[in-house]
Amino acid sequence: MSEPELMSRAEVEDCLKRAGLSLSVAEIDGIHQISGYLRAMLRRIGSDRPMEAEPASTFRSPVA
Amino acid sequence: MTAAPGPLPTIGEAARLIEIKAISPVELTELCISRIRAFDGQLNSFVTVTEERARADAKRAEAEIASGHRKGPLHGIPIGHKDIYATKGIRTTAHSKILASNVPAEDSTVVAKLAEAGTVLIGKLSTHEFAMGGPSFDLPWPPARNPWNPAHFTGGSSSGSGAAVAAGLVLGATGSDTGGSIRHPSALSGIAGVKPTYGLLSRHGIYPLSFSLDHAGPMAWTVEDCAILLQAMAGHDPKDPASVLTRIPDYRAALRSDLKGFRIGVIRHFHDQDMPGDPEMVRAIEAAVVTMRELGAEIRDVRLPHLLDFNACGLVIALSEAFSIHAETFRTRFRDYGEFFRERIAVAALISAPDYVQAMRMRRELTAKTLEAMKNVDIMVAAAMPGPAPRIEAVEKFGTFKRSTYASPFNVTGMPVATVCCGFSASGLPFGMQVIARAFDDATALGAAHAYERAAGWRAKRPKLAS
Repeated sequence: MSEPELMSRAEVEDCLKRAGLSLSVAEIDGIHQISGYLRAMLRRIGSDRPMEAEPASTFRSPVA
Repeated sequence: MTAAPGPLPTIGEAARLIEIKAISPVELTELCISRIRAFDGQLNSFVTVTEERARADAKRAEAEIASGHRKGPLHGIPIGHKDIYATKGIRTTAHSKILASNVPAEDSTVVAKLAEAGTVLIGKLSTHEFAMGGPSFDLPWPPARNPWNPAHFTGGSSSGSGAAVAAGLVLGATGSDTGGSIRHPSALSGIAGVKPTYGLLSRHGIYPLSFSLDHAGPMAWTVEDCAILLQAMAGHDPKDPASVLTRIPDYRAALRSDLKGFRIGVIRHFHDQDMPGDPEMVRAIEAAVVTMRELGAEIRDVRLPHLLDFNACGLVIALSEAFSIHAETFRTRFRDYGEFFRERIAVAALISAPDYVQAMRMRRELTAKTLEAMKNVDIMVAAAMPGPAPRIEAVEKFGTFKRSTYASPFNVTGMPVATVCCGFSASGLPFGMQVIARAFDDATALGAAHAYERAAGWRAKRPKLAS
């Protein structure tokens, strides 16, 4: 199986900074190296499930 | 030189022995303490041994039983709690420097329920740090090791529970399961473990990892013992918002000796295609399926969504929820966490809120598809782990991201699973099988797992321990 495509190093650093985390260069490297696996998972999940797919969806929005 | 202490009975056996006064709670507790002293030095299954408390509990149980006030099969039975379960007045560390001096003011609900049933609290058991970071060698306590071969991993995160039960240091233990943390150590340590239906057991007072995926549950040598423990642990608790008000059946009464009339679906694609398993493990699963057929079950294949779908969904939810719990402490005490926990959870910083919501929506879809796949079967079976326990130092920090687990689907769907030993590798390490039922049909999973366990005969084999 081929290695998944990594996020960019800058994107990883931005996300960690926004979360308020101060990591060493080696730690950022480690998370960057694993970021491709996470990206593959997020792609698998997708981004197009509508509001009606909410676990607690009990009504249909009049504007949906 | 003193002789090594003798073996422990199961909970079911001990309950009968106590009832006929062939053994007393005090004698049983002293046997456990002797075994902990003799064998735990190489296993590290305990963070804290509560000898004084255990002796007091045992004496009280003995006096109550002698005066005709026996509470049931757990009265006078020594057990241990995973060290994320709050215990009043007893250090509860989550195996972390962060909580190294944490002494709770109250028991978690499950601890209180087990105490009410008359159990003897013998200590707090090792865990992966906050039920996620392990096996780690940079924490205040070393990681638990596998009693079948201490050079190998126990599975986690309920690692000490698996090791202590397999080694016969306690008769039963509590565990927790967010992505396999009861079932993995049960499989790799060769014991029985139950991840009940989501909401059946209270998590109040158990340090959370991921509130929508966390389950409390029992671990013991046999399925019967798990049924006895589950009986005392289950039940509604208004202190846990996810706790469900439902009738608790008699789990022990549901244990069966055959599988006549059962339709069993085998989830072969998990270990044949989605995440190929070790050939020895696959043979063990196929042999178990033959045994279940011989017990009267009708066997058929079932197909669930791809394992990668369940694992993507489960891991994105688990990381997001875990990060939300530790975010503030991460900002102030990041380096007080162990390397495995802090770096695994820090990956959650790359997940957005819409990603999390999409995973929750996918979860509902996966649950519906799983229920549809179960339409024509009573239970399903699947491998618990892809192979025998690896060497402890071979466990990778980010292995969970690279390889799917066979356990995660049933955290995502919330379905009950009983894990049983289904054989051994040529190197003497155990394999485990998951027996899965519909939500709130925990009794059926227990009943079928018990029938297989009794017929298979693996319970006659115990690890050989060196003191």
